Amino acid sequence: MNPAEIEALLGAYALDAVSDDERREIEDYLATDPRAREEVAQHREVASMLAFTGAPAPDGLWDRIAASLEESPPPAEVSLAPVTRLASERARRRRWTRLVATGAAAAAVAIGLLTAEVVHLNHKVDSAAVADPIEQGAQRALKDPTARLAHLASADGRYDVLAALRPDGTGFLVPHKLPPAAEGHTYQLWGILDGKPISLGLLGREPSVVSFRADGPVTTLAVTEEDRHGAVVSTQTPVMAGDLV
Amino acid sequence: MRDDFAAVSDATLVVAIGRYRQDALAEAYRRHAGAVYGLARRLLFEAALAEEVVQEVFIRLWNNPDRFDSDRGTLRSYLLAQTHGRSVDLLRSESARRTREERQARETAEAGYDVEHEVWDLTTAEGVRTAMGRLPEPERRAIQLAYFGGHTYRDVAEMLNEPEGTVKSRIRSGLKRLRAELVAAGIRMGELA
Repeated sequence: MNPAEIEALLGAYALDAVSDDERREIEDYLATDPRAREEVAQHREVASMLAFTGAPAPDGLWDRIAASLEESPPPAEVSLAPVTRLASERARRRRWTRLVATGAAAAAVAIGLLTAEVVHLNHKVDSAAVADPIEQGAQRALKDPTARLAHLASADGRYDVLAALRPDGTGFLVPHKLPPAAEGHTYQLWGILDGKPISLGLLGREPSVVSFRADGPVTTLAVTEEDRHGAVVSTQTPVMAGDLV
Repeated sequence: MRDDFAAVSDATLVVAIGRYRQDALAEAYRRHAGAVYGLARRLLFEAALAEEVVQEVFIRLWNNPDRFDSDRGTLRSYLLAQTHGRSVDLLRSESARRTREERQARETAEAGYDVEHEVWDLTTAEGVRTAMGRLPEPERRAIQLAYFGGHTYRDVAEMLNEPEGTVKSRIRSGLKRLRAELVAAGIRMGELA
């Protein structure tokens, strides 16, 4: 769609009345156009007036929510970057594609070892400060049979991280080998969605166990090293990548 | 403990939620769960599904409070947008197994939509009712079918036997006109939070 066609759909988008493909295209556009974001916010505000229904919530519902919080990790401590598509210059895409393919191959090789690695990392998490709610969440995710796992590693063995992504989009990174980023730099996590990298958040210079959020059918995770503010559009080669399986 | 937060703004509540204050989430729930549940119930009809959506919306707020940006709207607007999106997802995934009769009953319910009986605050209800009443019928109908019916604009176009371009323009222009009508009626966006 061209910008005029996207603009014409902003009202329908605000009411969730567009297709999934259109929604993705519109969200890419919104990431670059603050005026369009403001228009969508205004439409949603109007819609919320229409939705101003006052049925009391059923008795006991809050108790169920409160109980489930015990099973749900608290917010991540990392500062999440906006979910934004990376620039699509052909050369960089090829580089990412190669690295993702490498990561996929590495994941395929590693999958046989994954069970042992999970056991190892479970032990690491178990023996760490289990009072840390993020580590508790990671521990549960690693043991969750419905979670997808990814082994992110570099060819030279310097980087070795395990990731778990639950079906609800809650994910965790558990570093095994992860040297500190250079002074003034940060690691940044990316997810590959429909073949396109999107930012999933900044990890910091020396991340330990961290949580992240990945909505949508993310197939691969990758980590780059960026300057300390992170990147909306990365020009860096990922230091490690791995497929979610 | 909840009284600690009874007088604070929604934005402050969200900051406290980010600091793992469950009592802040309880206060947000007290303020907005009724509206969230009401919208989910209206869209999904089934109480159990609506409760699931309420639970998911508040747990999502707990897990990702940073996704709410107070500069871009009220907490209620944010929660209702989340509720609408999730409900529509469920509605569309459930739609394949819904019977035609259920769908027809749904259309009948939409046709009988009466804002005044749905709105919490009677003063606001009057303003919204008046503003909706001033919209041209084609715009009002397109917005109702898209928002409360959970239909895409393409579906709406087919249902109304209108070109898709016409329907998406009507939704957009109708929302802009509705906002202007609400403002003219003295109802400022964000007052309901």
